[in-house]
Amino acid sequence: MSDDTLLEVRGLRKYFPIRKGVLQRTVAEVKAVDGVDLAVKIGETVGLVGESGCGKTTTGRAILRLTEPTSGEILFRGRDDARMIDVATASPARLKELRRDMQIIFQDPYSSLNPRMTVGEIVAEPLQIQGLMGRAEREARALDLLKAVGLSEDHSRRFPHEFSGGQRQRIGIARALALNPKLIICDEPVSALDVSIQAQVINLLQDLQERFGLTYLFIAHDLSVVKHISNRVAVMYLGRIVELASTRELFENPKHPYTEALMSAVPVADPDFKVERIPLEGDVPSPVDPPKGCHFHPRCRYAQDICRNEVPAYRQVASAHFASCHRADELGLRGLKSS
Amino acid sequence: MSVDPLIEVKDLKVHFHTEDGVARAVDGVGFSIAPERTLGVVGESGCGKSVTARAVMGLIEAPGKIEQGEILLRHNGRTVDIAKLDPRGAEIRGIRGTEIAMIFQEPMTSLNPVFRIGDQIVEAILLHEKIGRAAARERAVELLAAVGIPLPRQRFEQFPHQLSGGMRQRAMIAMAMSCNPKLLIADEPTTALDVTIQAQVMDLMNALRRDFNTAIMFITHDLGVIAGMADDVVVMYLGRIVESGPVREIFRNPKHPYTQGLMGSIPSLADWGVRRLTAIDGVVPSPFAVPQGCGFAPRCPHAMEICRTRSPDLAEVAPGHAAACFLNQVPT
Amino acid sequence: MEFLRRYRRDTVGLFFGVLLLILYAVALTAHWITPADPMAVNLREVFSPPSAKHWLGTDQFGRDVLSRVILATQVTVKVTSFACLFAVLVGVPIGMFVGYRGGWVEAVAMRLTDMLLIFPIIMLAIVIVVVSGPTETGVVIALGIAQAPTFIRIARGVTLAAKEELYVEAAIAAGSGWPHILVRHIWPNISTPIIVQATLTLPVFVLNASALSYLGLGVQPPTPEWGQMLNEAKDHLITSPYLIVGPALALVVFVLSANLVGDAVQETLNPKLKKRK
Repeated sequence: MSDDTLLEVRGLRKYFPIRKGVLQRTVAEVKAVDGVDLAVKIGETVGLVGESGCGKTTTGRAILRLTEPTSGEILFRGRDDARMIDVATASPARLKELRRDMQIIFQDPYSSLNPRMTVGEIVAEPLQIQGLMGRAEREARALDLLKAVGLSEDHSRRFPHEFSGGQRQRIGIARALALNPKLIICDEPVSALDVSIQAQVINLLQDLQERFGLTYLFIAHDLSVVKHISNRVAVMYLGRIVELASTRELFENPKHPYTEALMSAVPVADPDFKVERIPLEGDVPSPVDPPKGCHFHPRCRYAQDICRNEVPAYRQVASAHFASCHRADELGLRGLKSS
Repeated sequence: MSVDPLIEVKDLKVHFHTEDGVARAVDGVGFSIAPERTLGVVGESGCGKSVTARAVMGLIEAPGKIEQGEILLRHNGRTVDIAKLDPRGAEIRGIRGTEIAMIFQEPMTSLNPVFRIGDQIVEAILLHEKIGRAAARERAVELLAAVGIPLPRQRFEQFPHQLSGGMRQRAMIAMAMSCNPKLLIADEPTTALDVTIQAQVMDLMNALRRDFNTAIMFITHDLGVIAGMADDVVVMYLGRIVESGPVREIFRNPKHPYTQGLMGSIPSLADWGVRRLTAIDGVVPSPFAVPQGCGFAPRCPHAMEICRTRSPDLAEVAPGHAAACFLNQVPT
Repeated sequence: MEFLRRYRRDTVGLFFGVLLLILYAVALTAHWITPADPMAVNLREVFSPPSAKHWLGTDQFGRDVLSRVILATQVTVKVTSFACLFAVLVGVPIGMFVGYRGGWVEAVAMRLTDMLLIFPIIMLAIVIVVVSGPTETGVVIALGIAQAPTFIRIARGVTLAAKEELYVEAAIAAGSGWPHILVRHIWPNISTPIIVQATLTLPVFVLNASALSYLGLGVQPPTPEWGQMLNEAKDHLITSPYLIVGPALALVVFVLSANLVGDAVQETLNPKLKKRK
């Protein structure tokens, strides 16, 4: 582990039990996150992309322990910068301290703001919870934060319902910044917004990253947005990361058939940009009973016997490029040609 | 265009009279769709694209009201103005399903959860055609197969909740296509779907258009989907059309600042090196308080004096390509 | 306020709202507005029928019935309002806590609540009042505890929905513990449905308080209470039927108004309910 690692997730699993009957016995488990390894360096943006139900949101919530991980380590560089602390096993007091450094921005700008609190109270709340600063100081800080996200001081006394979706998302961002965190997990922060507002928020996130030296774990389903904002991208499928590489490497030189198919499915805003679509048959299998061997094999057009029987190792397939595919070295998969 | 349009909308205005005032949801919209063409209608939430579609379906009910305009459709050898029809009358019901069909973003809203998929399609067929139940059943199975549902005979017996989102959307398309409509209105049909499923549905709709010779009015906020589906595009903003033209013209040569802003707002998969998006400043004004003059002027980087007082009309900027912006026209 | 503006449009709600306010005003000013001393015994004027002097007549001790009804209004309104408050103060925090906490704590608490809910409220109240004694305080505690399970259920239900909101998660992510979340995020968002529910259950309290004193387990004579007055009136129903009019009318008007006001409040806050009718 190098010194510039901020977060390192090892073997993260989150299973949700399905209970039945009077005794509430566990009859099955939803393997939402099924062994995720991921490292995030200080100052970078790592995109975590995948389709609905792949476990990307659960991964983000488990890293913050908003949901208790079933197993795995979540090593995070704490206040004193010297050593990594395991978030997964941290005591309540330690966890409260760690939460100053890791924050979250949610997808839904409506549910994420308490309708009964003023915008100023919402933004200052993390400071109040952590017992930092006096009341007047907190209020002043809230005003600064509102300005930093492009809102004005007189917005602070209003209530959330007076704001549009994009403005609400800005308020949520201001709240996440209140504690001056190192890491912000952005859980689909722009996917509920209109196109023109989406661009405003993306630009804002990039500006704030530069200004405050933030590190982002950017969770999204939109490949174009992820490609735009990320330094590195991890692709998730059925609870596992199937591929991870620097953005350019991943998009131009994918090593996992799922990444290839996913990219070919994205509609490009250019009527002359014709990609040959790689059809993915059927739907994503249930995470209760994922397929044996490689999780992707039933939908993979390159699948062979080994894929049906053996779980492929998540391994380095090129420089700083990881994938879990038995045939990663032999398949010449198609990426996006640079133009 | 030499062919007669299938449907022609002229200066349509739909207003909603609510407790809080009058919302001018659609405020003077005109376009036409030729047979077998796909018109993409693009715009952000609140631009009036869905209300326009509902008006064409004859589905505007109180507090909404068609204030003005015509929606002309060729039906049984004569021209009918849908805007004048009773939304619950017999005539519009004869048009819906046979001439115009509609599919929605959330298929569950138009599939009845307590009936089997197949029976719902059979009902739709029997409603409009005089054929026997057995024949209708065969047609339904064929349709399910045509929209790419595997094992159509088994799926026929299932209920909507037993199908995945993509399969439900296919079933709904099958139902919409059951009577060979001349126009299919698709209101954000792929928005709720994952990209890989969205790609399947887009391919399906393109194939159906060829097989059934259906014109499509495709409503979406996603410029990528528009680029892959549409022949012609109209861009809507605040209840008006700000730009219209062939798809290639719109994407290659956008003339309205709003269209240009939209193009700059989306990160592209095809490009590298764009570090910063050119976002549009500000927010969409409320439909209750439409600004005077051009609706886009408060957010427009090129707004001039005249834009704040007068509203520009659509004017041709190239053959078949029109924009409603004073930058492209000499004000008279 | 937006709420009042919309409430005003509901004519039925408005009428009974005013009626309920009048009843409360009567209760508050009872000592000053009674035409005669409600306790004064006058053996020369027993069982006198309604007249200009005694609008509702006099009872077996010659006491002015109108004055007694007015004083009884005060007693009933006081007892039921405090009992309702008591039930809310006991039930709501428990319901909020177990709803938010979840897990086995919730499972155990809710099974216990269900067990209490099996018994009719009046039975529970009788058992408690036997222990706590038939005083005003005793009745408040008995009715309050007997109704608390209802409020535990309601508070838990609305808490379950409210805790799923993302702003709760945001507070947790900022390091917040459960007391802060319950006070700052859950309560402000569930207070409205709980207040509505309290208004809706107020008539139940009134009926139960009257039932208790009818059975002789409520407020003790000579302090008047509607139920107890009804009980006394029933003994003289044949000879002096007018005795029943005052307390019965007061009871009906109060229960009816509280009920209709509760409905109207609910409809005003949630206009969709109205359309379904």
